[in-house]
Amino acid sequence: MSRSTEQNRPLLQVQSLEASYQNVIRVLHGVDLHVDEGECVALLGANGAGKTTTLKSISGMLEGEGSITGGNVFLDGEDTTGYPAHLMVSRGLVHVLEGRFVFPDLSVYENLLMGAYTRKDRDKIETDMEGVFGYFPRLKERLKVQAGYLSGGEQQMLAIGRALMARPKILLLDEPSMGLAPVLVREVFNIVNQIRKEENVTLLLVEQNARMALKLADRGYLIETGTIVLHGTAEELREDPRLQQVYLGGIHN
Amino acid sequence: MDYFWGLLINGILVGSIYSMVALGFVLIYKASKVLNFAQGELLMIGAYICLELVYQLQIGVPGAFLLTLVLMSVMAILIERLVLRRMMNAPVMSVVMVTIGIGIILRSIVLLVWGPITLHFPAWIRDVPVDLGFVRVSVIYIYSFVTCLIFMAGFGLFFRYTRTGLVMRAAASSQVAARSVGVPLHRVFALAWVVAAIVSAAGGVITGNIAGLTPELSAYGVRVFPAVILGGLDSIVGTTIAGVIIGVIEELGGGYLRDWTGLSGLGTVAPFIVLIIILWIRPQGLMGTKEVERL
Repeated sequence: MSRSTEQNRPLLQVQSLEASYQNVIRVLHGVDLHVDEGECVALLGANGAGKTTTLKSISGMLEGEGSITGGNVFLDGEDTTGYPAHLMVSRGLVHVLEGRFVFPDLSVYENLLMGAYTRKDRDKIETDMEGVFGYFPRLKERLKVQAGYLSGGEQQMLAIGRALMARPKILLLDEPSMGLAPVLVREVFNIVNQIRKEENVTLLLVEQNARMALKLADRGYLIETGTIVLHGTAEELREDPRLQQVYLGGIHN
Repeated sequence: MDYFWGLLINGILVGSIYSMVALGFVLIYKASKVLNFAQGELLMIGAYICLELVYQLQIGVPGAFLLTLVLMSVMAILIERLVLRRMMNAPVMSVVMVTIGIGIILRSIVLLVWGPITLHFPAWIRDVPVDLGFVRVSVIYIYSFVTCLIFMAGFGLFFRYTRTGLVMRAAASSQVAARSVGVPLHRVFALAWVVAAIVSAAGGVITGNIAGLTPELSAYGVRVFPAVILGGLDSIVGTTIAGVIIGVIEELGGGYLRDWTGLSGLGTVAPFIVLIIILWIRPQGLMGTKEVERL
């Protein structure tokens, strides 16, 4: 199924993860997945299947609305189960949240600076910002603009660019295509692909747009009602009749 | 006419204290969406701590003032560490209730230690009136005004130009985004409380020097409230302007209403009446930000 056995050690490993909201509604019922170094893995599934909850459990962003009730998260061999978000960011795991959470009252420049919050090597921040402008030239044009006034696509670019400023080892991308016009969806995916190649960053990607995601990913998991029901290489998943019917609209690529 | 100018200048000077104290209130609200009902008590305890230092250490009011700011910062950090951090994920209303509790505790401490009688700072500046040409103002008011300006300009520069200031603005802008880039929010909250404690203590020491110290100083928390609401709850610039407006209304209202009605104490009520009228017309306050909408 997966080609992980012949690959490197897993950078991220999730074992029988369970999570609940406010200790009442259990959303995850034992999720198992892993992401190897340098890989791009897609987590696919319908609305409410538990994709976002999985990412939030891993990144510590679940705190405040829910909690992990069972299982483990390992980052780079270290047991990071239940760590708050700031400890995960300083360990190189950055979560780009669904819904483009930029700082609406700060300028684009200040947003990018904040992305580098956990960095110790402050002298390299300006250079890295130039790197981000390489991927997203639009951001450079709008450097002084308050982020709240950017368009949806620009905010998504800013959210990804800001995450890059942390020099992450692994990026969790939640629905980068949500609410964007088709042209922009393609643009964002192209840039993510380019980033992946050039920055040597590992990716865990959550998407409803399964077709797009599987073009980008090496492997994928399908999550349904809080458990992984299917996993395999991107190619295997593209050919899988279950996935094709439900998530790819039955159209052959 | 001199009467008018006297009241106006007094109003501006008193208002500058309101502006400064309101800054702490707004900051905590911006950072954590918590209305800090212990703001007046922080002001009160700051004044008493300074008084105690003056008499115990014999270092003069300015020296004791600086030391008070340090002690108040420590106290703010302790409040955050011991009380508020445990309330991190609690509903905002619970945290607000806790601030009321902190206020009651601080007021009780003052009553226990210093009692209800009015205490006074030693006279450390010769209280000669300064002639501004059209009106004469007590020199202590000039000191107070300048101190307020220094504090507010200082914090203004801090927020605009320092990294920590940027982090605080970022957390105020979006808590979720701040967490996602790795900001430990409890540190931001602690810092907001430190700033609030500092401006409150400064306000307390200034007021204490002008009017003496009683536990009633804690009522400043309520008197500052119209400025906070009028300014828009989350706007620092708005609150600064509103603080001065409230001060002026209080002095002018108090002065003229006493003459017309023969009743004293109407000055304190006047700002609330004006507040209600202004909020009919502009519910978000003078400069309260309407949310920036995504296009």
